[in-house]
Amino acid sequence: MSPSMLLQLLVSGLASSFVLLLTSLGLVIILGYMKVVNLAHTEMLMSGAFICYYVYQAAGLPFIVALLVAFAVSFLFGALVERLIICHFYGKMSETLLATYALSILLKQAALLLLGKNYKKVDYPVKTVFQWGPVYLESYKLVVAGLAILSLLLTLLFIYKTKTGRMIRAAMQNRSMTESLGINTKKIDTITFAYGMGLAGLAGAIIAPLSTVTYTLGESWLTNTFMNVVMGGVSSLFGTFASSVLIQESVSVISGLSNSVTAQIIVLLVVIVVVRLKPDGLFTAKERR
Amino acid sequence: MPLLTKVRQLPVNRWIDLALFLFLLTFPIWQNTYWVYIMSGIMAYMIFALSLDLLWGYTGLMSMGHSVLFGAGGYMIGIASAWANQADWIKFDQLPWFLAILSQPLGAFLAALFLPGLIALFIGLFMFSGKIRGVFFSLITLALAGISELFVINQSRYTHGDSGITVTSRTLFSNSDSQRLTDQQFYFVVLAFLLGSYLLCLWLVNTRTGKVLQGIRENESRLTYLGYKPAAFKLFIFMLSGMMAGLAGMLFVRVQGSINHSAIGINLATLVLVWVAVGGRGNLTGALIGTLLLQFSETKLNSVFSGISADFAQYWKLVLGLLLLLIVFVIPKGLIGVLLEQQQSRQGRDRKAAIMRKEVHSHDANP
Amino acid sequence: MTPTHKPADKAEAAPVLLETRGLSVSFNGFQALSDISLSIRQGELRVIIGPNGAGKTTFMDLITGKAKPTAGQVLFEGQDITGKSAAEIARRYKIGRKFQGPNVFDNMTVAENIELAVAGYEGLTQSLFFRASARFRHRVTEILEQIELADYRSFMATDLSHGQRQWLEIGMVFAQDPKLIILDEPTSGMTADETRKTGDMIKKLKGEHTILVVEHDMDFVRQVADYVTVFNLGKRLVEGTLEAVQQDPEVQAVYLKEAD
Repeated sequence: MSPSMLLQLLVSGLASSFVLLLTSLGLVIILGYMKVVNLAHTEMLMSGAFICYYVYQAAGLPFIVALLVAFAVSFLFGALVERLIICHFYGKMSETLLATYALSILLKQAALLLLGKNYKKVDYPVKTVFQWGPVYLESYKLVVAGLAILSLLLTLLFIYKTKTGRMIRAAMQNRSMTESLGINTKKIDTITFAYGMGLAGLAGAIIAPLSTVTYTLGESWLTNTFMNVVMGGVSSLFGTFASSVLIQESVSVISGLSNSVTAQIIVLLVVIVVVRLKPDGLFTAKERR
Repeated sequence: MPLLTKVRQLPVNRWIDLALFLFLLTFPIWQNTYWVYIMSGIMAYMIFALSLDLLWGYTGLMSMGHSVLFGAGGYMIGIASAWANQADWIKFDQLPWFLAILSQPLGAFLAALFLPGLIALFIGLFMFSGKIRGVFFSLITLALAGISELFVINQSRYTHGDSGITVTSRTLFSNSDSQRLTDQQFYFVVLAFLLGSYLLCLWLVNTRTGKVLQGIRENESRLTYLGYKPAAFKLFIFMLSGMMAGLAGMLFVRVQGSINHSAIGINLATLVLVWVAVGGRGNLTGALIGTLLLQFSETKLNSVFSGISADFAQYWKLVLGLLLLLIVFVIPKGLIGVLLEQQQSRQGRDRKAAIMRKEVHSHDANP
Repeated sequence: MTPTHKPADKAEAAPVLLETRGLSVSFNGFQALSDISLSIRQGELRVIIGPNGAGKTTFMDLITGKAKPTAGQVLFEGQDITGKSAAEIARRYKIGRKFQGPNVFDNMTVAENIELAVAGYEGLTQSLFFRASARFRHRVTEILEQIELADYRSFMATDLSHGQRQWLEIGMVFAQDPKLIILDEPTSGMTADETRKTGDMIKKLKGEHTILVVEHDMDFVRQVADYVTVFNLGKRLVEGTLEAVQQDPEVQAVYLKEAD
């Protein structure tokens, strides 16, 4: 492999890392802060991508509007789902898995039956291609990276610097204590879940131009996002960032040596081994203790 | 205890099992070949559901990738049959060494049974020796199903990739087309295996081992302080369950006459969870009834509605999602779970009343 | 209800069953136990008391293999069992433990809970081909009678009252036929009547079994204890007969005043 090709692989791997980070953020929030395994997460990505298609591509509104709509709709939907479904199953693992799986079927089938099987294509909002020596990168991927970092930073700000964020962390650490301080933990749960779902919808909208928008978009992300979050240490945002980079860089380099499917298989198997050896995640950050 | 009381105290679901097997035994008499063929496939799925029930219902290990073992069994038959009949997509002159057994008589049968057992042993050794439990077990098995699906699509040299393998032979051991059994004959082969699997499960869950498995489900750490090593039991049940899943996959491929990547991937892995959840887990009957009910309804409704909408299968999935949500909300123990719960609470009331009477008596005797 | 025999004489005669030497443990820099040396003789009933956070449960954890000490040794019948796995300590060395708060198999029957605890069949193949002999069934019934749950044998453990669930777990420990019985707050959450019955159950075992009890309830301690060890802030404060301990000014300062 020539150095310039390796460089190209590393750069596109890094670009994909930000995509993976973006698609995993909502999951980290819900899994890490609420201990809820939300199997409907990736279907929220799919829904966000569809929202982006209809608002931006079909209706011709500005891209940023599509992103905001995707976040808002997913946030509200998340709040609704938490109140109607999730709140009944806290602490019940099997039931939560079954209920969120049922929800994912409903979302997917609804998308298929209402919106059809046809692939939908969303144009790049930024069409130029960035060139740096022998390395090429679509400018939009730079935008995605920027948006991913922005989402991460805003999430960190939200969790660490706002009053709601402090309450979310308090509820995660010690629920009964938080309740006894007069904080409405039910409301906190709803906000946390809704925010996680909102992030998923937003991520779906952002990656829409990079994907073929169709009802199966969600399931293609299922394994990757969950394994990423588990390896990152479940409740650690930085851990998820680090493991996104590790996973996508490895996939990118290995696929340069063989093919992308083999690379995926190898990397996922390695991730499982890592999770077995370090069950608390590779990058258990200090925030847990 | 008088026999009559003993019979009355038998869990109500055992009567359902009896009725179910009588129904299955007589089914080919009053049904046509098409439905006999459909029911054979459903019975193979029932074995699969039983295998998951041992793991999830009894031991509390919620595998979200049990299809890996089902598919592994199925693909053994697929590859063996493609090789024996030299399917036109086969581009190699010799089976690779690790699949060489498939060319032997009995080879495919044994491979379909033991390869999944071996995979389960490997996965189990890997997971149960570490701290992987609860939801992490579920997520990793889910990932394994995803990986396996990618893997068989990728290994198109042996698996014919996306299109899958057509299996024309239908015998238990041989892969040549000349000895093909009829739908009726093969129905009874599957039924015999289903009955055998069921009896094995029934025996197992009532042994002390079965109780230890339930102990793992209820309170794994308590068991270690009683001197047990739960990892060994988990490994055992995972292997047994894997072999049963492989058996189910093998029979299903023989019935259906084809296999593709969907039999090893996340779709089937989650579908079997739905069957067991709807029927009720941890009592064997629920797995059988859930599978029968849902798969039979799908086929039946499909034959009714396919004329009206080409998208029937998609609407069915929607219904399945709604049904699952409804079950989790209303009867999380599943259909059979509810029946058992009713019987237990009735027996509980009787026992409490008996204790009350006894206490009153002893009070009278020595005031 | 005052103990009639003189435990000190008897204790001197019997060999030491459990001995800890300089047992210490710290979690993330917090010294939970420091330098605990203690020995318990065969047939003794020892009660450990002490305020919350004194390290009583941690001490039990170190003996039963739930936690590993940072320093020191646990000797059982003269053998070093420090750092051995929980299953091995239960099975090979026969130390049975009842946890704080009922820790049983909820969705199984009372009889099944006891049957699982009966020792000698923990292996996979042993349990696979196990058939209950008449003696085995008799033993289960005997234990159920001991813990006053004979009439409840077919009940699900989850349907029992809190006190009955405590008894069930005590019964599970009896069923293990252990050389050392460890009971961590056996009467917590029990009514006064249930507490008294529990005391009777434990007193019946006195002499035949070696028992180590951690308890808060002073009425219960008075009922069963003759020899008491007091823990405070991870250290062994004082040891002696209940009367002597109660008169110790240090003990009165740290513990008995708070408790009463």
